[in-house]
Amino acid sequence: MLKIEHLSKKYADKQALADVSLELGKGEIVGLFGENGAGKTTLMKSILGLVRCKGTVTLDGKPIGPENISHLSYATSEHSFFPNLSPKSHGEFYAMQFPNWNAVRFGALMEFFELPMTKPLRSFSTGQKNQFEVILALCQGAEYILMDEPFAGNDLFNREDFYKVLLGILEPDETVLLSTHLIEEVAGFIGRAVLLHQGQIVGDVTLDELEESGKSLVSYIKETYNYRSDRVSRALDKLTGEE
Amino acid sequence: MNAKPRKKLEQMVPPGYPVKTELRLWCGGLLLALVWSFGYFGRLAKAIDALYTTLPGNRRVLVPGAVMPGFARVLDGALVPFVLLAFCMLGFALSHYAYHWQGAKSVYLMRRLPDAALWHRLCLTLPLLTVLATLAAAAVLTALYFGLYLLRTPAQCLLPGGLMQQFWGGI
Repeated sequence: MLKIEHLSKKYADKQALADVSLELGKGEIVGLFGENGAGKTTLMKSILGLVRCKGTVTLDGKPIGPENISHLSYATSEHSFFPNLSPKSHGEFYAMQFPNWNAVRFGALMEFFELPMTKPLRSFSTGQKNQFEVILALCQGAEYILMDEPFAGNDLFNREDFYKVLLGILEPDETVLLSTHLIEEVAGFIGRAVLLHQGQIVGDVTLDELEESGKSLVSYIKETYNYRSDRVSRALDKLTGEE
Repeated sequence: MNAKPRKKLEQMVPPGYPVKTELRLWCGGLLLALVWSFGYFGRLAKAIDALYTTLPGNRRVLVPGAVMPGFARVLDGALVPFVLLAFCMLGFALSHYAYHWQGAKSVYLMRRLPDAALWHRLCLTLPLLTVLATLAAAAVLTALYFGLYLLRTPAQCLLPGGLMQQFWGGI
C-alpha cells in the first residue's frame, strides 16, 4: 500500500498541495485529474521525493528511501532519460541500477512500438520519446508506476495501442497512477478517479460506484468542478452584443 | 582509445556525457600550462647570468658575494596556469550536474536511484581526479625545476640556510 498523508507543498506564494491524503492499493489503476496547476505533477514529485514537502509518504509502512525507491517508477512528459544514450544503453543502465528490471518486457515493448534500439534518444520524435519514457517506467520492475501526462504529443492510434498494451501486460499487483487530461480515453480502463483542484482532493470515486449511480466519468468531473456549460454561450452573447 | 579504458572512463561520468571532449580540453590545458612554464628556463638563465661578470679578455667570473635569488622568485608565475586549470576542472563538475537538465530531465531518474550517491559520484569523480592529476603534474614540475635550479646554481651563490631557504628565500 502506498500511503500519502497530509501532504502540503507551497511554492513562493502558491499553495500547490494542501493537506492531501490518499491511499493506493496494489493492482489499482487510478486516473488523477485536475485543471492545469491543480497540483498533479507536484503530488507525483512529492511521492517520489523529488520535491520537499510537509507530510509523509510510506510504502507498506516504511518511508520512501533508497531501500524501497525502486518499487516506484516514474514517466513524465518532461522525459527523464538521457538524450545522448540509445534505448539499448538505457536498458543496460536500468539493469545495473534496478534489481527487478524486466528485460523481456522491455524487448517486447520496444519491438511492438517499433522503436530503434541503437539510436540516441535525441533523434526520436516527441511521440517516440513519450513511448520510450513510458516503456522505461513499465519495465523498471516497480510495483507503483506513476505517469504524469505521458501521452502529450502522441496521436490517437498511438495512445489507443498503448492503453491496450498497458492493460494486457500489467501484473495483478502492479499499480498505476496516471495523470492525464484525456478523460474519455482513459475512462475505459481506469478503476478509480481522483480529482485535484487547487491543491486539494475534491473527488475520489471508483468507476464501479459511478456506474451504479448512472453517471459517466466526464459528468462526475464536471459536477465536481461546478463546470458551467453555459459560460461559453454567455460570454459569446456578451461579446457579440457589444459588437 | 581501447574499448576497456574507454568503458571505464564512461563509467566515471554521467551516462552519455561527452567525456572524450572533456579529456581533450584537459590535456590541451595541461599542454598550454606546460608550455607556459618553460618561461622558467629563460628566467633561470638570466638569474645565473647575473651572478657572473665578464673581465677583459672575455673571462667570466663570479661576482664576489653574488647570491642567487630564491627558487620561488625565479619560478615566478610559471606554474600558475596549473592552478587555474585545476579550478577549471571544478567547472566541469558543474557541467556534469547541468547535463541532467539538458534535453530532458534525467535528474528525475538519478535522484530516485536505489544507489543514492551514484549521481554525485558520476558528477564529481572525474573532475576531482583531474584536479589531483593537474596538481600532481605541477608538483612534479616544481621538483624537476628546483632540481635544475640547484644543479645550475654555483654552490657558493645559493642562499644560506638550507633547502627551505633556497626554495622560498627572497619572497
